[in-house]
Amino acid sequence: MAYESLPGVKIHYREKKQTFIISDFFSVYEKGSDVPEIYKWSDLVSVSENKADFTLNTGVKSYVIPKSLITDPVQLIRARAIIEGAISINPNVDYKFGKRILPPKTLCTGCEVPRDAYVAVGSYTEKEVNNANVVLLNSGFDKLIIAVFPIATVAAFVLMWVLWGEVLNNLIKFIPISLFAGGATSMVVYLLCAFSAKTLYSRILKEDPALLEDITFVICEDGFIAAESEVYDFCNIISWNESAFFIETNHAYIVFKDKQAVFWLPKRLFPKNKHKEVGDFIADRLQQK
Amino acid sequence: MNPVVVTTTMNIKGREFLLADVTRGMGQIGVFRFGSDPSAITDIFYVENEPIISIGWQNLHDPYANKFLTQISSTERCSEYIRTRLSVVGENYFIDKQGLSRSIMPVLELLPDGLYVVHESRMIQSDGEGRFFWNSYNNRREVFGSADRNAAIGDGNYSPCFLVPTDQVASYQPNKMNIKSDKLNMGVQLGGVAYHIAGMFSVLLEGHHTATACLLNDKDFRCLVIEPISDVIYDSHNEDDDGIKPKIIALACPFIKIPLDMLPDNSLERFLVSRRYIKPYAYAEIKSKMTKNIRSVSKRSFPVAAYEKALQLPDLQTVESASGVNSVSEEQLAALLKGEVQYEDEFIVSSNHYSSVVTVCNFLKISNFERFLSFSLEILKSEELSASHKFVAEQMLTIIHQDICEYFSSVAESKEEKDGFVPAIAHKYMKRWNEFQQRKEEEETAANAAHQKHMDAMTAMAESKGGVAHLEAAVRQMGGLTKGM
Repeated sequence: MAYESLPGVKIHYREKKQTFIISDFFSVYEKGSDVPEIYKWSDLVSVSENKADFTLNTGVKSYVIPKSLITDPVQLIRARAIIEGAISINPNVDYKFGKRILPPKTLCTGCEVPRDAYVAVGSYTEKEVNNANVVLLNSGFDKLIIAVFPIATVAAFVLMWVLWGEVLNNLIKFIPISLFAGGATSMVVYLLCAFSAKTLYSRILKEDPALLEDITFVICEDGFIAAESEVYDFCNIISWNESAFFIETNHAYIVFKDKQAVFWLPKRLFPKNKHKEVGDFIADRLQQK
Repeated sequence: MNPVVVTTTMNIKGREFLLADVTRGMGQIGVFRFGSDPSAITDIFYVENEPIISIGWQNLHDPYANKFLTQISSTERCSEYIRTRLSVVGENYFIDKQGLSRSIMPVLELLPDGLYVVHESRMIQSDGEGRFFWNSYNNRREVFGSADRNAAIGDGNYSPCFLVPTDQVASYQPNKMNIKSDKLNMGVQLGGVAYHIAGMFSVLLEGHHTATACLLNDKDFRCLVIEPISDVIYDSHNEDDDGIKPKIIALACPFIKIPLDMLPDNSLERFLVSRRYIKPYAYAEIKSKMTKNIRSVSKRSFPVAAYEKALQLPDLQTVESASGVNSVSEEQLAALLKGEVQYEDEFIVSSNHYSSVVTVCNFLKISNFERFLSFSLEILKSEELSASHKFVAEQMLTIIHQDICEYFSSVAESKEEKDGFVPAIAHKYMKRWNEFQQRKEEEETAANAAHQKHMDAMTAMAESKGGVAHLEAAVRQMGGLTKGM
């Protein structure tokens, strides 16, 4: 189990008179009972995390733990690390989680971080997260235009045909107007996406308090990781096998798994003369030219 | 802040033990997980800043999979502070009779937070396969009986009685062992301290020379065994067919299962909050020592008798089988000798007579050797119980004992035509007995010669210093020395 040394987390839910303990086991004291319900993590069917709460489903009962009950962000980070560490060795438990920048700890495997690893500590800034996200959007923008432009053009043409009829007489007007409408629609869609990309940081921040914490970044021969420094113990890593490729932006290296970004490494945390070395190292590990 | 240890004496189904709830523990003795890649998980048993035993998992999700146990280092490298704490426990309990809770306290304070069961049990100085424990774990190998769950025992309780050393082979000192032997023969009760690490195996924290002396002198070796509670028990009476697991109703370690409602206030909650694999304070230092080889060179070797006697100890299968019985009365034994499987309308063990005899023999072999001996000899003498003769005779084959010798001697010398395995086993036994006697005589002769040589040397030394007083002093000193040999 990854993160097996973290102290357990006890959470009181006054309104429902429940006490939850997240540790080697998941335990629930119900309404003043002295004897808790105890579950092995492998006994759970599913666990999900969203903006507001954790939901743990045992197959018979579903326990909802509002995140608001955990006032200390460190406790919240610990609780999540213990849950994800437990699920990392019980992959039969279905796990869903919300938006986040840090990779899920369910991907972690135990590995001693070697001395020659690249290690950096720092937090993400709003600017670099948003900029990196816009770059990600732009890299996929060609496909977006190719998809939206013809659809919007055809839609505009059909609309005009329906409204005014007489296609043959008005063809010389309909074609440029349709093309213009298609282009304008693509532009609006792009601007909306860009706006959305630019607000990624603030959206994730609402769901994941870890964004404000110090993060430890590690890349080494065996893998990579970005984890909250509060819980990271240099004994867990995500194997390079869990990644497919990476891209380099002005501000960050971004590693992907299944077309999803799993690891954002801010360049700012390394001296400028090391940037190429770090980029080459990641490229080498991913066998990417 | 000082450690807080709350102890409660409990008795569940006739098993008496101490439940210890450790908070703010010093974390100087324990097990941590070194690497958690599911395909290569290794746990490390450490003492202070020394990685002592590596516990390799074959399969994290299979509780019936055996583990790999390897000795990496030795507690002799630990500080005097730790070693003193470990050594006083045996003296406090076995010699000064201070009571279990008070005696074991110096060690309990060294543990990480958690719940522990402490009990006094007989330990077996072998690896479960007849090898002398002290030098059986130098190579990485699969150790049978080290799995978390034991299919033969099932839900039964057992004491993790097979020993894993924490002292290296080179630390064996014949003189020290002889002193322990003398004490044992003078009737002094000696024992050790052990900590459960895997399945039926416990590491011997203190008492290696005592364990060896007990083995050589045919005395039971008793230990205070500390078992961390880490397992849970499901309600087997309430199992669903739809794949939904039943409720957890008890906490468990091999020795005992404690129902949740019997646990003292707050202990359960503290157990649930604390983690099983807490990283030790000296993690970095322990990690750095993991790959360093220990130098274990010594001119001394264990007595040959230790290896031979280890072969005679109950093996893994015997202990597994014996765990199916809690007690056997004389009346039940008499019923079995009459070929019955029931006593007062209840099965003694099972409906199969052979299986019952095997289980009872194994149980007696572990719990009461004298009863085992008389029961086994009675079975061999009974012609109606010939189905059990082979098993019983084979059990006796490895035991060097005057009564067994007399029985097998009478069988071997008997002129009656006898079928079956017993005569063949009797001849084999007599051959062993003669070899044993011959070697014993040789050892005694060698020991006497060495003693005489030493005496001569001392006399010559005293004479050279010229004085009867010197001679007397030297002889007195010799007496003291030879007594310890």
